[in-house]
Amino acid sequence: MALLDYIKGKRYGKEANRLERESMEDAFLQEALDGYDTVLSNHLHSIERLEKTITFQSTYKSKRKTLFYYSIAASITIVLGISSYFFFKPSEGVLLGQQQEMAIPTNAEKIKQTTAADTKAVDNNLRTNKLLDVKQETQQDKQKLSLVKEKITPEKKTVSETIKKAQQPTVAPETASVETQKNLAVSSKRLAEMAVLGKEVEKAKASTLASSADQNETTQAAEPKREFGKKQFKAFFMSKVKKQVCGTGKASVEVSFTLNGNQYPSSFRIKKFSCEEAKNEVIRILSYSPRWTLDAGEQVRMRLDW
Amino acid sequence: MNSTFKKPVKTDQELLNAYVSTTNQEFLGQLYVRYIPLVYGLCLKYFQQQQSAEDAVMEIYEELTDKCLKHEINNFKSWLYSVSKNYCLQRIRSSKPKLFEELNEQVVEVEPFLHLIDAPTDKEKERVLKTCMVNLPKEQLKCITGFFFEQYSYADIVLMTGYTLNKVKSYIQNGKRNLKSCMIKNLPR
Repeated sequence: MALLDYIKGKRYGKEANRLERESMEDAFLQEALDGYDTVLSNHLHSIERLEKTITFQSTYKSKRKTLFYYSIAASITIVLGISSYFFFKPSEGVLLGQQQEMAIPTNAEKIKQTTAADTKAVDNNLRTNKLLDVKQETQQDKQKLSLVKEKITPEKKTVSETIKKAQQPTVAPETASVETQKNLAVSSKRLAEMAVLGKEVEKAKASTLASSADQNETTQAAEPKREFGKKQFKAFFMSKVKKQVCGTGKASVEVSFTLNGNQYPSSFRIKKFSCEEAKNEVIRILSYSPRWTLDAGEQVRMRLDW
Repeated sequence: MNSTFKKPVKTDQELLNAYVSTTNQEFLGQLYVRYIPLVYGLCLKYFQQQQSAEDAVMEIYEELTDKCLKHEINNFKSWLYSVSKNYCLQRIRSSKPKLFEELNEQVVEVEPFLHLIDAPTDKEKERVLKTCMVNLPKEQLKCITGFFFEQYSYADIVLMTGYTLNKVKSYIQNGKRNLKSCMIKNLPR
């Protein structure tokens, strides 16, 4: 018999005797039975309530402990997350500094920019000077011009070196002439003036080039105007066409087309053809035919044999 | 095919070890719940009040959470008995000083509980037992015979004899003690 049954009141018979005899060996059980015999009440209800309380308390405590550890872990994670955000996020000062750096060029950049501008001016100046020299020397002596060109070319190749050296204005390139050395040493104002001068010279040069182009055109106009008609096309065709497109036999295509507004063949019409390949070949060559010299809109009909 | 898998019931020692290793109170709770009827009965005996006994059961559980981790426990039931009894005695002592003596935990765990059934079984011992029983007082003899030989419960004996429960218990206890001393005297060594 279980102890609870005994507490319930089942205290008769052999089972109860067994429990009571057991209690003689077990002091704990004996004293407990004595207690239940001493205070008569609904002990079973009290025991159930105590069992529930203990079970709940033990479970709650263990859960609370687990929850406590989880909350610690969660808070550590949150703190780490937030701190890492601030750690990796650049500070406002740094951002401002970066923006300022982007907005206001540094001294080095300034120097770079000014030197670049100076170098450009110097380069223009050099070019101007050289152009001037060239102009003068062309008028004077062609042999001397070639010598000057030789002198200019190596200097142009070393523009980057010139930039670097321009940052140190006192150091003049070894290859530069005495006149160039003087130009490098002058102030930016002087350089600007020289640049303006250079531009004017370039304009002058451009005008001279334009005039020379006009001269060329006039010379071309003087030449006899080329013609491209049936005869020329046949020659062109024979140079481009694939031979023996219709096997071993002779290929023959009779075609008519109109010259469009740009005097190129268009609206091909094949009247007769010995084979499909020959027809395609004629269309292919007509499609990239040179410009004809016949009037636009003129219809051409021709027979091509090859 | 329906197959139900029941959780294997853990022994006291397994639950205790689990609690000590993990400090998870669920294990201690499971273990203590098994002994609540005993602890509650014990507390009832000493406090004679249901409410005080209930409070004591809860407080003993609180004590166990620490004590289990501090002590090396071989037999949880015996150890719990001593802890519970000492708690009750301390509580009573605080109100009525020097009434009870504390139990020695080691003694409680080791000391065997004597019983007549465990007495010698050979013929010589049986003869001595019968001789001793004849010499017992009438009330004690009735109660001893009914309880040990006819397997009646205290309640059965109360019904049969008309004695009170406490009297029956007392007769059985005293009769057992008398028989024991008589047998020790008469049995050849």
